[in-house]
Amino acid sequence: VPSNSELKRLIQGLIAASRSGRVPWGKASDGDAYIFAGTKAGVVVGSVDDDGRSPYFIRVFDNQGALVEEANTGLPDIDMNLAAAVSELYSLARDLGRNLTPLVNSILQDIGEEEPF
Amino acid sequence: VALSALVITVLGFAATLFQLARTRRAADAAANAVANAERRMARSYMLVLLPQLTRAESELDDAVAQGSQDGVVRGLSAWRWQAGQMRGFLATDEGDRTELLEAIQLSVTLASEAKSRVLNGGDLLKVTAQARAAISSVTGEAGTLTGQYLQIGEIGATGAV
Repeated sequence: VPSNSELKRLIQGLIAASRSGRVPWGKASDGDAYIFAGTKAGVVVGSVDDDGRSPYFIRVFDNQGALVEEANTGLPDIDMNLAAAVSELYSLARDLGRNLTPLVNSILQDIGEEEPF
Repeated sequence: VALSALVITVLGFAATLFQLARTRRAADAAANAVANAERRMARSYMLVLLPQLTRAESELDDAVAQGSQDGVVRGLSAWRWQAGQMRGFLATDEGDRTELLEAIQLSVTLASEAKSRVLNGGDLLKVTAQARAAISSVTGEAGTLTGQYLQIGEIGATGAV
């Protein structure tokens, strides 16, 4: 059961960077999964059943595309803090990966409301 | 006599310094020549690698078109290997290759993701769409990079240094 502190650290960093719009999430498949690739590693987060609902997963890949770490919020003995963080990251990645966040910002700007980011 | 000895000593010292400077210039020139040759050799490798990258891409496309699950899995795995070769080349190349490294990482991550979806019985065309687009982007960039090397004369059309 992943309760890896490094995975938590990665997720917290991605959440913070995603909130400020610094992570260019993209679609990872025809389903409900979103990807961010750096220069040496990649992350995919999504809903397990491709339906936008819990459970959610996160997978971390190395520079060869090999899976090195994963977590699934549907596992019964998952760390609750980790599960909450994965869910939050999924929500952010989904909005950014579907380009929803910039659209919302644009609409809010048009109607004179402040941008959330 | 003492003055003559002093002059001879100073002249000898100056000659030694001059010779040392010449030797250092020659050593620097040799080191530069070796570095240039190594760079040109590494960049010539792109002429070998580029057809392998495009072959891996087209074999994957063919497997998808033929509906071959085994072929698609092989193609995705082959791409990950070929992409690793290119990453190795980029590690030795000069210049900022951040965008290309990110494109390669995107392609291998998507290839792995697609592979698991293929093995779960997903529609080959759909579940490989993002991976194939990312792979196509990398081969396109690799072609552009090779073209640039050819244009600046870093590598010859025969791959000769």
